[in-house]
Amino acid sequence: MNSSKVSGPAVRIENLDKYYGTFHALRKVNLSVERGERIVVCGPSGSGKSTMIRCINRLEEHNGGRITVLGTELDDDVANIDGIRREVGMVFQHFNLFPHMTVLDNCMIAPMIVRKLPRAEAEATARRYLEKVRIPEQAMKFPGQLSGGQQQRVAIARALCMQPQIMLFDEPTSALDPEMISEVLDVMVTLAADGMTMICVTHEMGFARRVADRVVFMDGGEIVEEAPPEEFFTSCRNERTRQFLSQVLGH
Amino acid sequence: MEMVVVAPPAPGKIEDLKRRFFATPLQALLSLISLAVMAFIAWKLLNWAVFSAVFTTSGGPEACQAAAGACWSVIAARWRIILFGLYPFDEQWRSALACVTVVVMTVLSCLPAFWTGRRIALVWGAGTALYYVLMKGGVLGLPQVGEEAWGGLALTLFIFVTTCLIGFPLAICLALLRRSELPWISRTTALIIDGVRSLPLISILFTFAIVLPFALPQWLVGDKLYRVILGSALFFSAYQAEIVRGGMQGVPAGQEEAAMALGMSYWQRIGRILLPQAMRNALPATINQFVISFKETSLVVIVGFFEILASGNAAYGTGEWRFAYVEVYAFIAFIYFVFVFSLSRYGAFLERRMSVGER
Ligand SMILES: Nc1ncnc2c1ncn2[C@@H]1O[C@H](COP(=O)(O)OP(=O)(O)O)[C@@H](O)[C@H]1O
Ligand SMILES: [Mg+2]
Repeated sequence: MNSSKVSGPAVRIENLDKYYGTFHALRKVNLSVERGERIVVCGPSGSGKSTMIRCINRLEEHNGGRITVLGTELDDDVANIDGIRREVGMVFQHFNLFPHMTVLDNCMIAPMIVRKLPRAEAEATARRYLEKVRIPEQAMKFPGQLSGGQQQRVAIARALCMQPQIMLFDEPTSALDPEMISEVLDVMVTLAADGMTMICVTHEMGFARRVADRVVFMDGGEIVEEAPPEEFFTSCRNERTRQFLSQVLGH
Repeated sequence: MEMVVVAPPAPGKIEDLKRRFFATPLQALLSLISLAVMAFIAWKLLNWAVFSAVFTTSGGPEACQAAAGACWSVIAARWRIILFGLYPFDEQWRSALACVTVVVMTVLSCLPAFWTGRRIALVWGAGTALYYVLMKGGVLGLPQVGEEAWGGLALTLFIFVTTCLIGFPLAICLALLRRSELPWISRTTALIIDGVRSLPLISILFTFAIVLPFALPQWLVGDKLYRVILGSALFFSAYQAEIVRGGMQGVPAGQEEAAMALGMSYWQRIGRILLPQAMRNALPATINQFVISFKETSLVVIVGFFEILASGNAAYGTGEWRFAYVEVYAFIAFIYFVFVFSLSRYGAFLERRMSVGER
């Protein structure tokens, strides 16, 4: 998929509806993300943040509306889905590294079997990104031998090795001990500085302030508020947003 | 300020034994009595098996009956029947080579160096072809020997290996089908698995060997041996499928999601992410299933095959060695032990190897 040449937003979500059985998890969500833009998504637990970003790479199937990623609409066409997944990296709350492979193999497997890169090239890429996330010396270890913060950085490197155009983060720091949060956020800040298109679900408001172009607040399956960070933090209009902010910033 | 922490000295072997077995006078007494009983049994066994035993065939069965110990001469006289069954006497070297082939093939495919699809396929393809040519003959100037004459250890190994070879991939297919998202596929598979598991192996063997030929068109019937192997593989796969499924359930859902998010296809996710982890989880139960299947090969005797146990019966059953059945069974037990024990040790090796980097 040579979509870098396609113009238009990186991700466009229009009237997105998602049901789990009879439960209405996303209600007519609209969101457009430009190339190079950094979006932070926040909101109370259960508000549909994960569901929304998982719809972007089809880990969840949506039930209504349209999602267009890099000019390709997500539908039941498997080729489209595979193409989009190659261009969209994802980092999970619980890392989800492959425990039976070394760190290096974790980073090499997808480029080799999905992008069909030769081994030497895949290894060079993997080492470059491990360097970038500042753990080149752990390459031959297994994930179980690393700390949470190190594992999450490997997970970021693994996603980057596919050379994606968009990165999705689903609460990348919420499973980490406090002292490891900043090492992961630092990596994400570097990534943002490189111009990566990022959609981050996170409650790290300091991070939002530093890198986000826009902050999106969700509640009850809806986007309630959407604003640049300084505006979002100082003059948000919505009562629910204010309540939420006082909770996450309150201590 | 400096603190020097000294570990308490490790207790010596003798100290340790004292503490465990001779802590109180009563304990000491019990320990001594058990020791005496064990020594007595060991001496009796050793005396029977070695010191008073007859090892040469020179005296014939009569020398044995005169002696107080074991009659190993029956093995010396009849080992060929035990190992090769009714296979023609002059061709038995072929059966021996076939056994070696199976063992070599198994050992090779147990070595991590051979764990690529191509190498495994090569080893098994060449191995089974070689086994078949050796046993069946009819080419390269080897006289033809029909399957009904195969027997002994060569047959036991062949049935076991082919059962696993067919049953294992089948088990993985069944396990994958059973977790299909389409309900009618997963339910049908569950029904098949539970159906096969609720039948005794004997009835399955009997059905495949005796009943199936009436139901199948002539060209599909094949030799009885291969039908029996199919039946036994089906039985194996039903149990193994549940073991594999259990292993898959132990793999967190996030693993497949991560693989999907990286753009891997269904088969890549299964082959590279799900199965390796599932098999690691399922390893102990899998080795168990292999051991059970190895021993269950002896059931083929009911449909008329002389595997090693039945050949053993024949070895002492006729004529002058009739009294020496204990020795024959001890010998067969030893052969079973060698194979099953190696299997278990290999399982332990795999577990150690796979636990590298596990939390
Ligand atoms: N697989 C699922 N099946 C049923 N309900 C789900 C599933 N995943 C999420 N939900 C429900 O959908 C809502 C939104 O979930 P989620 O997107 O995970 O929220 P968030 O990430 O904002 O905490 C929650 O109420 C949750 O219980
Ligand atoms: Mg969530």
